[in-house]
Amino acid sequence: MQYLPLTCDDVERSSLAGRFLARTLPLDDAERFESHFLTCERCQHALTLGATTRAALRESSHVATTAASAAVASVHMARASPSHRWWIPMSAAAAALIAVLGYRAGNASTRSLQPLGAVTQAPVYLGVPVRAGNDERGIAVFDSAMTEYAAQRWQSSAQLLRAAIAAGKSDSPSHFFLGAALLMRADARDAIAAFSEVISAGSTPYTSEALLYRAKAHLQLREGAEAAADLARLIDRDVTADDVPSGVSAHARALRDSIRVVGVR
Amino acid sequence: MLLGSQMTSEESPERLARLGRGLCILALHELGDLDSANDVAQETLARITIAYHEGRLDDARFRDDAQLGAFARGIARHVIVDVIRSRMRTVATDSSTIAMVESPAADPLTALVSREQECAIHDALKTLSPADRALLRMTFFENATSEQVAERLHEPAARIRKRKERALERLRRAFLHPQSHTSVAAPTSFRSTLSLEPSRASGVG
Repeated sequence: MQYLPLTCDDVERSSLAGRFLARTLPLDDAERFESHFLTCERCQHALTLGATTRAALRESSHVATTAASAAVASVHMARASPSHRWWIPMSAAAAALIAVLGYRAGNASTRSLQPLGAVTQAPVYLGVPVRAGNDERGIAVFDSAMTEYAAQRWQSSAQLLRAAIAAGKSDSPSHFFLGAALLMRADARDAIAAFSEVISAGSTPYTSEALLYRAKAHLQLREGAEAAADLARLIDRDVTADDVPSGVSAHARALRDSIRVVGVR
Repeated sequence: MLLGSQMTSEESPERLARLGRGLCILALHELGDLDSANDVAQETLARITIAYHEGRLDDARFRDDAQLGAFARGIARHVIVDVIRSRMRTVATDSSTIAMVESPAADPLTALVSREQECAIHDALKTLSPADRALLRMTFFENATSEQVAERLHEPAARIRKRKERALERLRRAFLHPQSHTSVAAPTSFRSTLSLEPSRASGVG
């Protein structure tokens, strides 16, 4: 197949080298990038530098690597937690090899799904609770919960958010951040339940991200079909509604492509 | 092995050397070990040279980087698949292949990197702010583009792009000049900064 040749600016703009190293490029993009870097010294340097930087960043992360440390993508750079993703290359390498060989083993595919659900930072709380119609005690507990959330004390935050919901503040922010806190604790099953509460409430500012993070939770549980369904719903919503943040939409599309790469259609 | 000296273009040896490095990177990325990657690169270069002499790759296509890259990639992919198939035939008696594939060790491309370069990158990373290291993590582990990072951080994309460029440029200098990497930690080392090669457009892509 003939493709329009890439330039180094294209490579940089689309982060192709980083995505190539992470083995998350769709096949046609990978083909174009490979054809480019074979004759491009600058992009060859970018790849070896990128691989070395990835290794160095990975080594600099001292937090224990467990599935429990997978967490949600987010906003505040100063709170960046160390990467917990040393296992991404392992699964991605296996997935790439399987793809080259032209077959898909069920176990390998589901194993490769789990890293796609990994998240490193919790969604940020901007501190603008909606107070209308809520019980005062519920609001106070919610505020305390979000203080714990901001301090990344996930268990305490989740407990307080449950208390806030029980006290009458059973709205989308409470359920959304409960889901996020649970996801940060790698309690994916309960996180799904919390995000489902948000989604079932209809269209709110939290609906899109709830779909995205519920997809992430499904991926952590290796439930590729469910994750793909949530992402498809989010992408459809992006077409029909105008309240989907572009970053969320782009992330959803990239995640959908990655799921396809590891073999879940 | 047939090499560029048999090609008509004066720049052939350098172009083939660059192509050889690219092929080695591609094969190493797929196969995980340097010996196999070198074999793939050599075999692919040999097939390209034969194709050139047989007229299946004319001079115009050879001189065009995009066409040469696409042609070389097609051949390299066939050679890589041959290697993988041969491994599959021996996999039952050679468990080391599986161990290699499933190893969580560093990216195989680091096999192309010297110890000095690795140390230089480690040192250069220490000179970055925590925020810039976090930015690189988003870039390398979450594959986020500058626009996606900007969206998350509620900062202008141009500012994120500039920060990313500066961080990567610092790493690139350390990487390309590992013997002088300690100068990165000293912002007042004006002389050593001048000695670095002119900055190229940055970006790991």
